[in-house]
Amino acid sequence: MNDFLKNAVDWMFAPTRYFLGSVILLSAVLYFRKIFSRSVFILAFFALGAGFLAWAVRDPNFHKIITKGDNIPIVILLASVVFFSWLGLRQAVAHDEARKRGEGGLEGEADKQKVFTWPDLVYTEFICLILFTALLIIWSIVVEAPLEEPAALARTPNPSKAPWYFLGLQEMLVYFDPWIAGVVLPGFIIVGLCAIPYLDTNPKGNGYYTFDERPFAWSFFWVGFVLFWVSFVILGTFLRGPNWSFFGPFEFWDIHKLEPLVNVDLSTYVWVYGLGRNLPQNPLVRESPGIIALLGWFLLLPPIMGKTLMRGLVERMGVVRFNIFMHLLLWFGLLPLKMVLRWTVNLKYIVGIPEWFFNV
Amino acid sequence: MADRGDTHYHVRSLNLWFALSSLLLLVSALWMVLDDWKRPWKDYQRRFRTIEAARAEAQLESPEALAVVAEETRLAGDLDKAREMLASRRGELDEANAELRDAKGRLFVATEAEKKAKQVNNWQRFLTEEHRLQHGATDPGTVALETELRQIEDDLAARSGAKQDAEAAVRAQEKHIAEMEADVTRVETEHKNAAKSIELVRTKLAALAPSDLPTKVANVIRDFPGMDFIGPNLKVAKVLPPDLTFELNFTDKPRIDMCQTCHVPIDREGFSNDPQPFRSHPRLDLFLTAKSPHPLSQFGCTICHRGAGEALEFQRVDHRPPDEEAAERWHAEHGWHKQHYWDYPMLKARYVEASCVQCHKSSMELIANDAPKMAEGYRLFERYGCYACHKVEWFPTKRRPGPSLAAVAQKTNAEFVQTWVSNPRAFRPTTWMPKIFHLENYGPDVTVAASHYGTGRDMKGDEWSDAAVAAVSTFVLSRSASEPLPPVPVDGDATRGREVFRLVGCLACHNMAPFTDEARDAETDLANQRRVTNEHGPNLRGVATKVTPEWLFAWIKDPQAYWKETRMPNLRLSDQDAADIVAYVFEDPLFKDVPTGWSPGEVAYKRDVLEEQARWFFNRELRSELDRRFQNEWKDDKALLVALGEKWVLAQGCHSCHEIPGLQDAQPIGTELTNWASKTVDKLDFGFMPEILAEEHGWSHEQALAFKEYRENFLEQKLREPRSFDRRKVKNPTERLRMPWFNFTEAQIEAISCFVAGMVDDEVQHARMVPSPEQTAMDHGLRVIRQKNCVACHVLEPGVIDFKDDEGAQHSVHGQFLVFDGDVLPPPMKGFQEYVAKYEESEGDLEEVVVQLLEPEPGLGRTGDTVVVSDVDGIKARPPWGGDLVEPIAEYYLYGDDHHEDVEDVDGQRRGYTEEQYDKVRWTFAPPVLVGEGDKIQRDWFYRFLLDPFPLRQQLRVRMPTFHWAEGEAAAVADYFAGRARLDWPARYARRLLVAKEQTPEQVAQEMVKLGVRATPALVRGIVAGRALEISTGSEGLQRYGREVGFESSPAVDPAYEAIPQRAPSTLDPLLALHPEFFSTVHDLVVKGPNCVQCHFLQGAPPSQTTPIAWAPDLAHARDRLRPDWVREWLTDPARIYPGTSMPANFPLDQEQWQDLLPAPSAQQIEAVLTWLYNLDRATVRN
Repeated sequence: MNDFLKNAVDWMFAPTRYFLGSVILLSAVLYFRKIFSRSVFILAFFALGAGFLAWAVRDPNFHKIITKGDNIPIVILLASVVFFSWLGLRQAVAHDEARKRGEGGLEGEADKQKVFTWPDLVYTEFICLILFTALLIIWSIVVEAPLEEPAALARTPNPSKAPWYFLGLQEMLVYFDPWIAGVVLPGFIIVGLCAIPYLDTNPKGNGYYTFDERPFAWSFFWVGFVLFWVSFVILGTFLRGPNWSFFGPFEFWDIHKLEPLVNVDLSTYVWVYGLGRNLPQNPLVRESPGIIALLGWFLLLPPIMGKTLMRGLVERMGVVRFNIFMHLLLWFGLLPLKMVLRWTVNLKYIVGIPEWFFNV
Repeated sequence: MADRGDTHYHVRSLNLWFALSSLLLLVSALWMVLDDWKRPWKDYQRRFRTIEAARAEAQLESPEALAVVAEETRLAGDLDKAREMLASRRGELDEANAELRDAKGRLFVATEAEKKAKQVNNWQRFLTEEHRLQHGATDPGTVALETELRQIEDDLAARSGAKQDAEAAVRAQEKHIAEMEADVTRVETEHKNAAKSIELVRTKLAALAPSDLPTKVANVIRDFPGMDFIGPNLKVAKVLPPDLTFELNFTDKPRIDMCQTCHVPIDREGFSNDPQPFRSHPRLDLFLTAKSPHPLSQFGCTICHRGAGEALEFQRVDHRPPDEEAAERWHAEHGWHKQHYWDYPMLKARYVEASCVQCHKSSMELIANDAPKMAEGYRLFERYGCYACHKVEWFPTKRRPGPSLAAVAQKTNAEFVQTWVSNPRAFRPTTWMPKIFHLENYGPDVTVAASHYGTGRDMKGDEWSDAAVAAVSTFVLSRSASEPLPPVPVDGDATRGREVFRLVGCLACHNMAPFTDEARDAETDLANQRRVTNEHGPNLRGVATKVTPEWLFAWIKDPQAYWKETRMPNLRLSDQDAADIVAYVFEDPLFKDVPTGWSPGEVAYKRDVLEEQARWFFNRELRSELDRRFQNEWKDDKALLVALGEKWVLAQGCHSCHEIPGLQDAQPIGTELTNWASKTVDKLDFGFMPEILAEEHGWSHEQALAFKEYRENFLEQKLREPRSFDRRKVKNPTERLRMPWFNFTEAQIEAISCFVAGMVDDEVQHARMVPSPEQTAMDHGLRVIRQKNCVACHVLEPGVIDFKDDEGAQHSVHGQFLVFDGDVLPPPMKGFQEYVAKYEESEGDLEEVVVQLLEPEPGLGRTGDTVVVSDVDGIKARPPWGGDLVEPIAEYYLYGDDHHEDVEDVDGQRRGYTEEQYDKVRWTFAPPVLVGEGDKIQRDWFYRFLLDPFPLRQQLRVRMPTFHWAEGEAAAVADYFAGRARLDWPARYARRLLVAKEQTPEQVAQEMVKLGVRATPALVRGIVAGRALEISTGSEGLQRYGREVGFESSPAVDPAYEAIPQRAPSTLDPLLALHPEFFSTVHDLVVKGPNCVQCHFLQGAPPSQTTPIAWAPDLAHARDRLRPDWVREWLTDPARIYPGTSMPANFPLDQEQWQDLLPAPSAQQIEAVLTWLYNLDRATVRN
């Protein structure tokens, strides 16, 4: 029974299932937010979580990965993100419910709650400071620094992991070349975050939580932050082992584990598998399917979307804003797209021109 | 601050929060300080301080200390008495001092007067000379001046005399005063010396457990939590051995060892029974102490033990539990587990010798006694030829360990080769040829290949191996020379052959031990028992079924003609001798005896398996091309077997051990091992063995993982079951593991692993140990001695006997037991306890044993003296090193067996010998003993003799073989003996000095101090015991003392050049001028006096005794063979050199003899004989 459960959990945490499961779970939570925002759910979640931990921690592999000195904060991160996401959702539901009942919701509530800088803010901040200092001292006494092997020029540790807050980016390296995953996409994240105030034309939701009034912003935040950032951090911390292979939480980190995958370029799919002929010599001709697809993705999709599904958005934002927004969105969309293509058809590159170090 | 009432939070509750959180911060800060103060290493140091203080206090209470205190008190009394006496004689002393003052005054006056007279004298001389120059010598003025000058000179002489007298008076008075004060000075010095040791303890105790309050308080404050960062008593002990680094992939990081932080007394004596970490290092003579060759400050700890030297916690150090039980205990006590991230875990205690390899690559033989397991591993590595497949850059040999196969077809037949290749141990269980085929990854149940292109059937391991055996054998024979050898030229006599075989020395390296343990235990014939030395060559039982008589004849006549790297030497057998041996071998049933189950025959192979193997081995060829060949040139099985055989040989590495024509330059198959132990464990493929072993032993998952953490585990498993890492793996035929199976015992596995685990990559460590040329030569010499198996025939080191004398003092002497019970031969040395048991079984209690000394032992006697030991149970005997052949030879001479009663001597006569002649037989007919040979032999003669031996002792039937020496080998052996004598000389000198003077080390030390030489009894004892450090610091002082007391001894051997003073013209010319008849006089003395030519040959003329047992070497050889110093000692008293020798003491020093022939005391007679002996070539011999 024990083994069955463990195997089931390991099975469930395979990357495809983990990612798709997270998408479904988040969608379900958002869709059934009224039900999920009840206290009983968060209590049940933490009770079940605690129960799961108590059971799972007896497994040596699980125990090892959970109690590793620098993984403990991630466990805390896991709990706190769930709690605060739930808390926000709960307030949003409360607001939306109130609004539906015609009570005006929470809008403007905040204006009424003014407090003094001293003592209400500064004093409490100071107390928090002290408590946090004490916590850090106690932590450093109780939890030993997680030392690894001596640093060596030619022998990097395996797995070689980024600091926890970069594990999301490192996960992207599985699907993209470093120049995209490490330079372009993070650049767009920063640019995109900076651009939000200028792109956001929705005046609602200031100083209070609401879902109904900002469904897109809310969903996009959950996808972008919770799914692609936090859950990638968790994935990178707990589920990626030696050789960056994927390991279930109960699985032993066997350095010899093999992932028997042969990834194939899009050009091979088209020319070799589709047309049954050899790859053309000229890289541009060879990669033309991918280039056309990418050009279509970036150049055709915005006008098509603007004419069809997102007509309302174009009207509200204006053409320039809409195009900027769409391009940011499409760059972001490239990530799940490539992930799904990798999982489903073992796609290596959409455009692969190693001759010029240009691979997408 | 009071609550205003308009704030969101209550100020009071905020205050409360503030107070509580501040308290929490305070508590956590204190906890932090305490946590640091409580670190385990500090606790260890605190505990050790109490232990040490208690120890010091106990030391002050010990009887020795009390004795010292009593002595101190007594001396203080003496001092007081002496002072009192001096005070009572104060008047006398004052008077004497006054007298001294007067005398000095008189001296001053006399000196001044003399000075003045000198001036006058000078002036007068000048006046006289000038006057004489101007006025001539006869001028009266000149005469008057001269007269005056003479008077002045007389005056000066008188005054000089007065000054001398005054001076003498002063000195006498000074001496007188010094004598009066001497008693006080003497007692004062003694007092100081006596109190020194106790004073040390007192000082230490004061530091450890101070009795005065301020220091106590200060110490508490220094180590108080939170204060201990300023100047704590408890400190981390760091050692930074200079130049020692460890390699972190291309970077060298200095080593910092902090082990002594917890292992506090590791470099101090006296803590050998304390619990860890408070235990002294078990070998302080070799390690850590400043006097030892590996001082702590220069070497640290991790260079040998490995582990993480910079860690201060039990777990992080990566300690290594000695066994499973300890691992569990450590886990419970210290939370111990393997420190996964540390690549160089501490070596298990039983493997720690591995570390010797890293620096001692060029002195492996010299350290063999101190690192026996590693040395054994090194030897096995060489004997089993591991280096042939596994490259080890520095390994000192490249010789192929297996016999050449270039002419194997002449030696044996195809059936034998096939069956042998299939399983060599089936024919000879002790062979060091491993089993190569039919191992587990080619087992009968293993599907090696599923032939998809051929038959479509699965091929199993055994048919695969059979085909391989057939292929290898056919190939090897196809490459061998096969023209028939010439027939044996003369008819052999098997009975005589047996005697030649037994006496000429074959049994030194070969045995004929039975194959089963029971039969071996029942064996009484020494030739059929296994010893280390007689396993140097193969066991010869059954050999007649293997080789042809023609081959055997050719082989024993000239082994090198068949195999140029063979270790078998040439015994210079005559055709008749060789033919007799061949006849014996082919007639005696012993040599036809083979183990049960051995039946040579053709191996049955299957054609389709051969074809499948060809498909794998020639997989670069087109399949169609292979199919064509199967139909054409490989249609004949033999052709296919030969083609496949070459591939198999190259794949299995047969060519690494055996010379096979055409494959001499092929690459060996094994992994290079030069830096093997620096490889991290993750680079070793353990396969599924951890899991399989876990299933077999019921290990937990954790234990299975831990198995993979240590490289020695890999090594041991590989040696035990070389193919086991293939278990449960899916592999095709070309990927399977190839290491053969050697059937090592667990002890051998451990030894080899111990050696290989030491092969780390570290140039710095290599540079640390640069042996001196002398050491290198000796190491090389020892190596050659081992390889040539010299010790099979010759005793190189006397036996060592440890016993307690009647006073309970422990002795360890070079000696032998005397046989007083005539019928137990040979004298018990090997297995002394077995001898005692056997004796007591038949004769009753053995009450005492007589030990004969083979070295002068201070306090016991000279060489040849005997000591009676009554504590029989307390005796421990270590047999002499070498000379295993002496017993079989002596036995052959003494006891008849089924085949002979008499022994044919060199003169062709047959004679019988009896037990009473044991000593004589042993000294005369067995190979000579080489103990102390370097002192005896001139190095250059020795070297020439090794290169081209000749029958020095005519009576010997056992032969000194003509060895095939590689470049430098013979010189190394000669150098070894010379170097050895040189190294041993100071200890020998000390022993002889002490024995001659009948003094104890304490007395000698005292005398030396009186001479102004720094010495302690321990120093003298150290020199006597031959310890290098004591010799280097104290030997010169001891020799000074020796000269002072008139002790004469021959000087140390000089390996570079030794002069023969007897031949120098400066000695000879005056002697011959004085006594023109010198040589004939001495010749008369020699012949008519002790009659040396009775036993000795003289320039080729045989001795007058005709029985060979009385024969001795030709005196003519002494000139370039023996060192004159040794011959002098030998002539003086031969029994003092070789107790038991038949050579009598012809010129005893306490008697005068043959005064009519040469009227002189014995010592001079000896010198005369020496001079004659060393000039025999010049002396005209009168008959």
